[in-house]
Amino acid sequence: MKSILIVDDEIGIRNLYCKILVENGFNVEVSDDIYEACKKLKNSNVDLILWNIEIPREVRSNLLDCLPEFERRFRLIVISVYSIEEQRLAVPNADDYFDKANGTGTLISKIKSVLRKKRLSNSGMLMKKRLT
Amino acid sequence: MKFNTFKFKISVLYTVILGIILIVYSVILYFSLQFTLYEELDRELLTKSNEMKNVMSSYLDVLGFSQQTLDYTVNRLLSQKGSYPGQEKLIDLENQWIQKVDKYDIREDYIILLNSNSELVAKSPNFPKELLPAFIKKSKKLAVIDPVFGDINFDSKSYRLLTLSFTYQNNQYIIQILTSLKPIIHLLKTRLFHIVISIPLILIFSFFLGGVFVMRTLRPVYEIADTASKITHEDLNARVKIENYDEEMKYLANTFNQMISRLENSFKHIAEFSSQVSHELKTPLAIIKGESEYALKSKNNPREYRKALRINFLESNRMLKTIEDLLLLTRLNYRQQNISFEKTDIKEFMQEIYEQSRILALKKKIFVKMNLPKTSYFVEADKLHLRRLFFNIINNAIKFTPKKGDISIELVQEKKNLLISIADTGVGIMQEDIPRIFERFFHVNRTGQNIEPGNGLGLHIAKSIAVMHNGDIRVKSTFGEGTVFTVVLPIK
Repeated sequence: MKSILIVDDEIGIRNLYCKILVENGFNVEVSDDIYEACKKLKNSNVDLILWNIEIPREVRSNLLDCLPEFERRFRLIVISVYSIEEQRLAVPNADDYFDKANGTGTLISKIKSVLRKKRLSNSGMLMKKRLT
Repeated sequence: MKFNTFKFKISVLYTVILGIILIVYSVILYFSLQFTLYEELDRELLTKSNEMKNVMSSYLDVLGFSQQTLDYTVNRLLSQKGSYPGQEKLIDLENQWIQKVDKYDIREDYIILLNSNSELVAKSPNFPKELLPAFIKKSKKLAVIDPVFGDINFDSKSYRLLTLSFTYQNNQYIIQILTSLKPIIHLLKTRLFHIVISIPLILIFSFFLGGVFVMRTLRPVYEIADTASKITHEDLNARVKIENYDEEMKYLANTFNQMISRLENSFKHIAEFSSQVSHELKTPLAIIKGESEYALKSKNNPREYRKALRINFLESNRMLKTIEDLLLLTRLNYRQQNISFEKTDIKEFMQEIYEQSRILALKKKIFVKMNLPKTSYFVEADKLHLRRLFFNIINNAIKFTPKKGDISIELVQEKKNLLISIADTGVGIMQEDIPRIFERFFHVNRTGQNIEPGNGLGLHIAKSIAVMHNGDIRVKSTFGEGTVFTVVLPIK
């Protein structure tokens, strides 16, 4: 069973996505904060992060600071209320981007297709070894 | 050419002024020339007659006075004819006289000499005979003490006449010299012709030249107009290039450019604002949409429906709250005429706030206390909005203070201001967030606390209300220990 971490400060969004993902057979963890999320990433086996970025804020740099450390151990889908182009500009290297207004069906299919994709390199594995 | 243009009007005005100046100047110049010429002529006539009188006297002195010598002298002087015994003694005098005759063109003039009875003694050979009676008659009327000047026309020509009387050995004689005005009239006519021709030419030239100068002066106005026509709400980038402009035009162009810059900033601000608003409203909508989708999929499950409806209800309430707050902000910032200030007893006012705060804080068992001074203070306030300010702060305090915490309200005077501080024992604000908490749509990072999300407008509204009352809000906070908001209001 694939494990997904939802990082979003909106309780309504967390509850909704949690409910839908569980129904689709994923193991779900939630976090409302980047720092807490980083801790969770170290201790558990997360395959994919749904990360809500808020573009006007500098907060996103916090996860970007964390990311190189964990890079490629998990996949990342950026979610926000901003357009996909804006999200891509803010976080260029994510596996996919999701505009919250685009219904939950789209989200599920994006998650599934990202998880199906094969890793091109095993750098992620190396990272994981180094961390442990 | 358009007649209602600035260019035309300025050119006309300019030309009219120049025309008046030129005409006045030319008239003055013309008459002064005329005066000078006549004066010159009169002086010359006087010199001629005086010379003649003197030479005559000298001749007669040499020859001795008699009717014959007089005739001889006069004829000799006027026509260089006739002879008299001993005339060789006069050679020097005659030579001098002939030089003068040449010098003054005396041969061109008509000269007659009359005696005291107005009888003709002699006349120059060129004198027209038919005029003689008229002249003799005229000379009788003259008061012949001083030289008298006059104008005479005959044969459709104009002449200047000098009548000079003199006495030689108790005999009174009258010399009349008549000189043609033709050269003077010719000169004046030429001058008049030049004036009449040149003034219109100068005016036409200056009209067009003036037009060119006006166009040059007005060039910035055209450029500003061009720039203005390029400006639309989509593109406010155009600016007037300010180069080689006169000070006034530079000022105009600068003012225009500054106005465009201000408009551009306002448009950016509005664009940013609407983007912020849309994104702010997108989150609750995404939740409503997701919950509805989910509920629609779970067939015949009333519990899920109820749950979805409840969430949708809460989220739409949240959206409405955000919209109401935005409308309030618009009123505060742009429609201040709806706001009415009245003299308010702040102690009484705070007492009401305190009572209501206690009720609000009750459900979290937060203890609210208030400390008011004995003195009464008055402020100029819009009560409704001021209440909103305090409740926005107090609601935040309740929200971020854990159960059984404390909130204390205090009122102190500082110079001409009242400081109303609201201190809580809540989670506090991180130091890096403090400068931004009054920004529109700013949300603090609520780590691991189960605090329901606000819309990021509460403190922004509070600050706007404070500013509207000529006051301010200050904030001090220690993360993890609590926050103190201090509302500053000027004392009335």
